[in-house]
Amino acid sequence: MTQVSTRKISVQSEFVPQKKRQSQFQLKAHRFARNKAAVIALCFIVLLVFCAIFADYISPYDYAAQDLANKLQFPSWRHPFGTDNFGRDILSRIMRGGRISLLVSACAVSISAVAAVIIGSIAGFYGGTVDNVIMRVTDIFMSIPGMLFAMTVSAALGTGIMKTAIALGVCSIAPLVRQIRSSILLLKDQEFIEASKAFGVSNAKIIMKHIIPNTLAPLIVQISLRLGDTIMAISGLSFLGLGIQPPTPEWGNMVSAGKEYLTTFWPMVLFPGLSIMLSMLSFNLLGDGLRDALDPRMKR
Amino acid sequence: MLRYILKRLLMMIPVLVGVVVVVFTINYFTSISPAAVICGSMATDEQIAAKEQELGLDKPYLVQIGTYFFNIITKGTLGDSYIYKTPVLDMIASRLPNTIRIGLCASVLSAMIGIPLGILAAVKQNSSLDYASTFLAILTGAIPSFCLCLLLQLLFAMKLHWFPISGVKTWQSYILPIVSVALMPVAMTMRMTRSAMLEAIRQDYVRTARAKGLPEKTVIWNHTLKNALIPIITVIGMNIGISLTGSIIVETIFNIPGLGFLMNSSISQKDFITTQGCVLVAAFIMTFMTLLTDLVYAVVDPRIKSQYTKGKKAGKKSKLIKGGDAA
Amino acid sequence: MEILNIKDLKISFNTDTGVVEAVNGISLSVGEGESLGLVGETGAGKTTTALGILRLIQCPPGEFVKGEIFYKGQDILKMKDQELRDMRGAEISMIFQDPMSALNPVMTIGEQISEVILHHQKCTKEEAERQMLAMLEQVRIPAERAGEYPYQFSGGMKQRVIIAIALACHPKLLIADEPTTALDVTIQAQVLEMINALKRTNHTSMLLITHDLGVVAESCEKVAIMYAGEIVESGSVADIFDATAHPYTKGLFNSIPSISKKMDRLKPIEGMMPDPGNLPTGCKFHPRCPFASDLETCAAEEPIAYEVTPGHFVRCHRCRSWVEELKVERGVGV
Repeated sequence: MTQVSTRKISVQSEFVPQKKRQSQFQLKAHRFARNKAAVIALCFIVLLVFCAIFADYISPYDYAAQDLANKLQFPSWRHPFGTDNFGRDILSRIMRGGRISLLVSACAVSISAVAAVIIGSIAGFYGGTVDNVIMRVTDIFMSIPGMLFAMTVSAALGTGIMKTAIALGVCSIAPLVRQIRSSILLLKDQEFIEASKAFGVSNAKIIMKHIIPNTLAPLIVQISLRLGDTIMAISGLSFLGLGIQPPTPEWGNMVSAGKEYLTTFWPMVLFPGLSIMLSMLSFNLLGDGLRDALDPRMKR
Repeated sequence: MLRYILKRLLMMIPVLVGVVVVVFTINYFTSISPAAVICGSMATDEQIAAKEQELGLDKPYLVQIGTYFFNIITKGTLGDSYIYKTPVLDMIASRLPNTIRIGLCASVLSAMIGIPLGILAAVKQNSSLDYASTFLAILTGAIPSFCLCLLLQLLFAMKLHWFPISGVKTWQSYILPIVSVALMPVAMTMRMTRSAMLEAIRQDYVRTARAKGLPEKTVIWNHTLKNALIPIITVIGMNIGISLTGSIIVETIFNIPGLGFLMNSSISQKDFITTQGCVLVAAFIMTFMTLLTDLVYAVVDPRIKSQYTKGKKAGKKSKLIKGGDAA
Repeated sequence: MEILNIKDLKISFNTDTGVVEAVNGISLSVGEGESLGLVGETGAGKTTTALGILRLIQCPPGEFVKGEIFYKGQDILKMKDQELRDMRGAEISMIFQDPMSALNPVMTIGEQISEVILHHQKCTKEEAERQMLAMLEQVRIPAERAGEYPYQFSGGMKQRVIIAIALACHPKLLIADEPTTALDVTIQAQVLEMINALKRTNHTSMLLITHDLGVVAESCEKVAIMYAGEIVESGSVADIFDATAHPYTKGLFNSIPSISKKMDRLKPIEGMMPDPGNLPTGCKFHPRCPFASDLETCAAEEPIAYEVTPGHFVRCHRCRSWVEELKVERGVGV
């Protein structure tokens, strides 16, 4: 369908000489830029990534430096987000925690995306028995509630950055496989694919020219949405004491540590909680924006 | 139709067997032996070995999983807890009602708030009400449930003293957990209802209904909503799963003895046989819910019903419909 | 007496890329019991006009910029919602282009027909059902199929159901928007015949929208040719078919293959329909018109409707000058 719509646009532009011809990418970028919420979300994510990479250089304090004389300080000019129960600067810990969250999330999503693309394409292309077997296996995985599954895997693998990433990655393979398979199946029946086949275009060329670009768009959208979900899941696991363990700062375990002081000292819960919320929000808005830009027919 | 239901019920068995195999295998290959954890850090190797023998953990993989299945089929038990020595099924049975109560109330609550709000937002598309509710839905969808729980606890239990902080002594103590579990589903239901309604409202048959001169109320309720129901039902079915997942964190924070609480404590105590039982029960609820939603589809849409009664192609078609919704 | 009278109607859509003028100052009228064929290419604004008459256009993005639509002397554009709803389906009803999507998939066809009867005639359920079955019989669908759903019917059958819905309350005016386009050729004639027969027995006026001049010849008395949101030529069937005046209408006739006339090649109209968001100045047809190069005014000035013979209007600078020359000659001759 995207193919069809772009064709229409190019036909129009032939008859409207004053309008500059735009490439596919420019067109999509333009559409994305019109969505203000998505652009703001993207800016926030860029900021987040920047903070995560350079956390050690730009954070005001050492994230692990304890200062028991100044513990549980409310926000001030010296400590914009206050200090925690060990007198550590909360802002610095959030920056450092963001690195962990983003890293784990990126690893987990890469694991599931790569696995899902391979498995999903096999199921979609070959069909028949192979497809049936793969689908029954995803049925099994999808009948276990996601968080329960993540907890079981995480309990078996143990805690730590890489292990949490693997646990969360493995858990989100099944739904992604479904997604990719269904978008390939949908494409297989499209008339422009059949038309290319009728013109004698080779299979390899069809895959390169039609299947990949058209499945890539929903995949990118899914990846963006999954990144947000995974950040949420990591913090949930860490909150329950399964994901990233203290003293490594992670937003979820920071909230968990802060809940003891909830009645008297709110910054330990509020700021990490807000960080989780804002990143989840940004990835969701980015995903929605990308979906609207890449695939206008899915616009809601 | 009855044959279809029977067939689907039978199809649940291999899925549940698969779930057991998957969870069992994960637990079997875990890095820490449950026996070592149960005996404590002071235990000698002999003590641990004796414990392993007692729990049957020293036997080979196939024997262990075989015994597990044998017990389910012949005795109808899920084994005894490693720690409490009580049957896992009893432990689950005593805790499940709490989880179901909260999950069911939360699902009903989310449908009762989410669906009307979604319809309203779709009917008044691009109005300030639409923007406000969509914004709120996106925002609430992004709040981590544990933060929300803590926030509600702080505000309504600790500061205002309207509700108990934790436990399940009175009906009031269920309010905060239900609200915490329901928030995410409310947001999802609202967004799904809105988009399904917008999709249906621009269809030709809605224009036909308007051309008939029907009042707007009839157009919305009889013609648009009826056709938007499939994705809405899907999301309500999904909400059950979300409440199950959500129950783990919510029950832990509000100290409610439910399935999620049991699950979390059994994982931290390495009481794997209990964990396994919990996952199996949760998976059963999930698959049963999927079956239920598929059956409700048939009530709503005559096309799907005819596919079910035709029999053969039924499974595939319903998959396709669901796949389309997910995409 | 005129049942429908549209005066200088202008409908535009405000889109992201600018204002699209879909209907640009059209005037037409349909008399009682009369049938008017509205002919034009895809994108000429025919459907927008039809939906505009029933005010079924989404506003925004649509907008009624100016003009009036009189139904029995009452301006539809000034009607209140309630009046509008009482009119739709009962006084004016519509047959849609695509029968595949125009029926509600989750309601039985019986329900969909009796719904409109029940709503407009305020009768009992039993009475509505009786009328519904009678209606089904009229469109030759067996009564026992009333409890079935649209997916169980073929395209031609669905279109007959839609006709039954449209005629259930015996409307005074029927708008048929390309009722046969989506159907097989063999069924097209059947459906058309059915519409004509029912129209005759009920004394219904009709606005038939089509791109097929053959259909118009069969079932209409008057014709209006639409191009780029304007009516370029209108008159009786005889005026249009035998005394074709506008170059666009001539082009349309030349693109129809004919068995009787010997032709080596069809002569399609050169070029494409202009983008409705970016219309040419002057006469909208001049970039494609084979005669436009003769006159400078074609590109500069918008032609106004000119009455060639009584009741036969043409919007064309060239036709106007021809006819005036002719008149002058005749005047001299006498």
